[in-house]
Amino acid sequence: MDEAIQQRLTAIFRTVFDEPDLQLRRAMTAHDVPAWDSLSHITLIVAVEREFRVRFTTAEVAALMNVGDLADQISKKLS
Amino acid sequence: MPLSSVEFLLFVALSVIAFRLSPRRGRPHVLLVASYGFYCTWNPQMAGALLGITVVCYYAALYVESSRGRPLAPRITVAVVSGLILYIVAWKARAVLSSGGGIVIPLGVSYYTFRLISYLLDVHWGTVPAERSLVPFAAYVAFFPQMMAGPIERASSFLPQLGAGGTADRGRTFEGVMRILLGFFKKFVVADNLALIVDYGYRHLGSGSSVPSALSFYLYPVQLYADFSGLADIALGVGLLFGLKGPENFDAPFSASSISEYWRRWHMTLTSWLRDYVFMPLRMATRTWGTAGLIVSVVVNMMLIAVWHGFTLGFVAFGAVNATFLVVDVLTSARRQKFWRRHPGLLRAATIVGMIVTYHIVSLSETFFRAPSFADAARLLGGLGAGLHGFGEALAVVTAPPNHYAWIALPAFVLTETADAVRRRRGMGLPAGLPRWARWSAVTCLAGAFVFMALLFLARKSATNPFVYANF
Amino acid sequence: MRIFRDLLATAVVTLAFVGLLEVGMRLAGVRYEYSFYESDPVIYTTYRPNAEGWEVKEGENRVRINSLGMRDRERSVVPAPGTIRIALLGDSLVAATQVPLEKTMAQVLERALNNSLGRPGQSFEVLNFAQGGSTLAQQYLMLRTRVWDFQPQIVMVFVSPISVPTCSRRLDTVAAPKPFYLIRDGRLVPDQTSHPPAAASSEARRRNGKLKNLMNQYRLLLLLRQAVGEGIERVERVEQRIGAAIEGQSAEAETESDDERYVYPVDIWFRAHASAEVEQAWQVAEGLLGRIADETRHHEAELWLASIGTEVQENPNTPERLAYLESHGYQAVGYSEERFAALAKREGIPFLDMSPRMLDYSERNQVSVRGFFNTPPNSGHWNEVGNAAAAGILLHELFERSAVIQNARARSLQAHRAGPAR
Repeated sequence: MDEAIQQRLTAIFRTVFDEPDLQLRRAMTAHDVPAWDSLSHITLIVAVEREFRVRFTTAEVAALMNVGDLADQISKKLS
Repeated sequence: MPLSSVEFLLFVALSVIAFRLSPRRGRPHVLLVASYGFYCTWNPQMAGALLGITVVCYYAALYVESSRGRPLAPRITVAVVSGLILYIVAWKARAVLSSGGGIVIPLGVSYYTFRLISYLLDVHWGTVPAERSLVPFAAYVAFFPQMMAGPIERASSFLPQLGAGGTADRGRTFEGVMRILLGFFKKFVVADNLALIVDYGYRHLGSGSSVPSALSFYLYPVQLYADFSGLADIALGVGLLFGLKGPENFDAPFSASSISEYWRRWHMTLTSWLRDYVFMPLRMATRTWGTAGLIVSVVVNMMLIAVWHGFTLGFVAFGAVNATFLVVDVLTSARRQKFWRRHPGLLRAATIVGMIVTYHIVSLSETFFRAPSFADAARLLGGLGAGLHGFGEALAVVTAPPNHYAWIALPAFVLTETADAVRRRRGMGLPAGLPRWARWSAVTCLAGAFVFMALLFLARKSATNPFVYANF
Repeated sequence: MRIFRDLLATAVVTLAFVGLLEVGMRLAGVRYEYSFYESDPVIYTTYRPNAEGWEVKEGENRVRINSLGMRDRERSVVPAPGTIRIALLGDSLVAATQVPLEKTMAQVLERALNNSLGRPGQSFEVLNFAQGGSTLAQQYLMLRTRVWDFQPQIVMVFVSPISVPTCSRRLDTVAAPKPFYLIRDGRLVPDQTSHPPAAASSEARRRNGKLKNLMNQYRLLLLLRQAVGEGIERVERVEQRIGAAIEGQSAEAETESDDERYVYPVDIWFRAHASAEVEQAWQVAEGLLGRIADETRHHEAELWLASIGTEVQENPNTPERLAYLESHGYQAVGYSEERFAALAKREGIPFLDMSPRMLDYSERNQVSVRGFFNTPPNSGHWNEVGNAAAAGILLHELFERSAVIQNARARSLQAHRAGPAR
């Protein structure tokens, strides 16, 4: 993952899921974080959209399998 | 053919044997023939409709995938998905309008249309490749064990397994038979006996004692669970005999300490389906609406779950009760989490209280599900506060012979919950490292239980309680 | 050697598991039909002496057959002096296995007679020779070969909707071996093609009896028996359907065109039938009843003919009852009842039509005389209320019209007037 993206993402995750010590990995999924469910998922997406000033489509969100995919999507949209 | 019949057991045995004897590439064909054969014993005309719909979706998906980016592709998706939704809505509406239960929804309509919709949307979004050959696809749509009451399996989980010919080893065979037995046990010993008590309760609602109301109120959720999870066990067990592992539909729902958690543990394939294809898209569309968007998404999601069962006032009320409590739960969960973090000692007690409260909410909503009319539901709920007079007599009636036999449902339920817990912890296969006599005993006892069950089915002279969820 | 140990261990565990299934069935109250019958060289199918089990289809009741093969208390063949005996012949309605023994019509009647007319030197016994599924031919043979040994003064024969159909092989609806009679040159003769079942020899009966008694002890064995029975029936039905399909006929077409093919007993009960088959059955039935009347006259006993009708005739729910009768075009009193009454008149014996009286009782008291907790109301056999009502009706009629009972009454009054026992 890109360093800058990872740092900002980590901050978002820690806030949205209220886990101050959370460490991100590419392979991380909702299973790995207790507070990450379908409800908070959208909160996460909204926060990511605001932070990086990007916009996701439903199809893109549906295709996200893990944190790595999310980071890749963000990279693609920023470039 | 009904599920609890010797014919069905024979049919499964023969299909499984034919399936396993075929070479890997022939297996989808065997499964297809078996599934359509099964469907035809219910309704040959609708089997034709099923085939037609399957073929249309098959070609639609291939087109959508190959023409991605072109404007026609999403329109095809919308058209076919809308058509499917219309199809299922039309049947549900027809069932309600021809009152008195004249028209029964053809077998599996709710289940196979959902499979097709999920497949099309997945292909449209690119999360699943379109299936290139018609036979395995048609077998997926018509897969007979899941035709009666789900689970609603996704193409991405089913097709690869079928492509590999299913992994039918001895472990899975044992597990499959165990699950089938467990499913029938839940249905006949737990659900049917509780039904006797619950039916008694509903017949005596105006009696002035709180006993009938209380019995029905507290026992119906268990009855419904046993009935429905029993059906899921049978479906999954039969799938395992084919070497195909299907998705679980239940995960100890009564251990949920909040209504949100309950819905993550009950009818999981339906709720996850709705989450992926309704809730998420809807939430994405409303994500800028703030809290209102959240509430709208939760309510719409829940109401769809409710009317999926049917278009009656009872189901709508069921949905409304759940939706209300869900919204409350969702809106207050963040604050509650913070509170528990500050008072960890109270968490244990809160969990238990939560389980009790959740059970009451569930039972309240299911009262509208079960009661033949709104008035009856109101009477039952009113009856709960009727006080304790007449308690002794009412209780005596329900526990007197021969009614006392029905109460075996409760210890039986403890047994089945234990079995479920074992299944969740370590699966239902034979433990490894058993001495030879123990392994042989397990197999002979399993075979004995299976034969016993076949004899029970054979010896039946009259029709008995149908499975509740096979009507959806 | 290890393999034998393992086999033994497996066998033990499996057996324990089977035992567990048996226990489970008992705890859950799962019951199947018990075996109460045996083969007989003369009557072909009779109750098995000392058989024990449960009636499970209607009500739930423990049933015991006595050592003489009757669903009755233990009886001695030779009566004690001063005993007045009434022998009942009939089918399942009179055997009444759905209710406890002491609540059966026979026992209620016996107690009532003893309470009102019993005194030292005069007692009453109501001997219940009725058996489920019993036909007129079987009742005639039972009377001739068994009943007279008991020296009854009164014999009561109860006819029901199965009485006439079971006189004809083709119309017969009860699936058990039985002897048949025919009319040849205007005379009643035994059907030469009837043979007692193979298992009727005393050797076979003993062996089968032991096996059946064993089966009655274990639910698993009863389950096996019923499953095998049902399985055979289903295979036969499938064979029939395949056979019919091969012959190019559908089962529907056959029954519709040829209405003698299967005539419902209820229809025969209510209506006169033009078909030769039904008329033959009637003639056999009347012939057998004539023979019974001759027998009884020969033994100088008093014979009664009583008829028990269909469930609907005793249904106190008037709208339901009338709707049924109207929709089938039946009268309230069936053709059979009238024909039996005419026969009784010819033979000079009292006739008792139970149904109108049972209906009257049922309506006056607003109770159901038929039906149990596990059956629809007003269907099936007489329940406890029904049996008691029937006993009451019999008591009343015996007092009114029975010479034997009236004599007994007279003796009672005489002894009473004469003062306490000397």
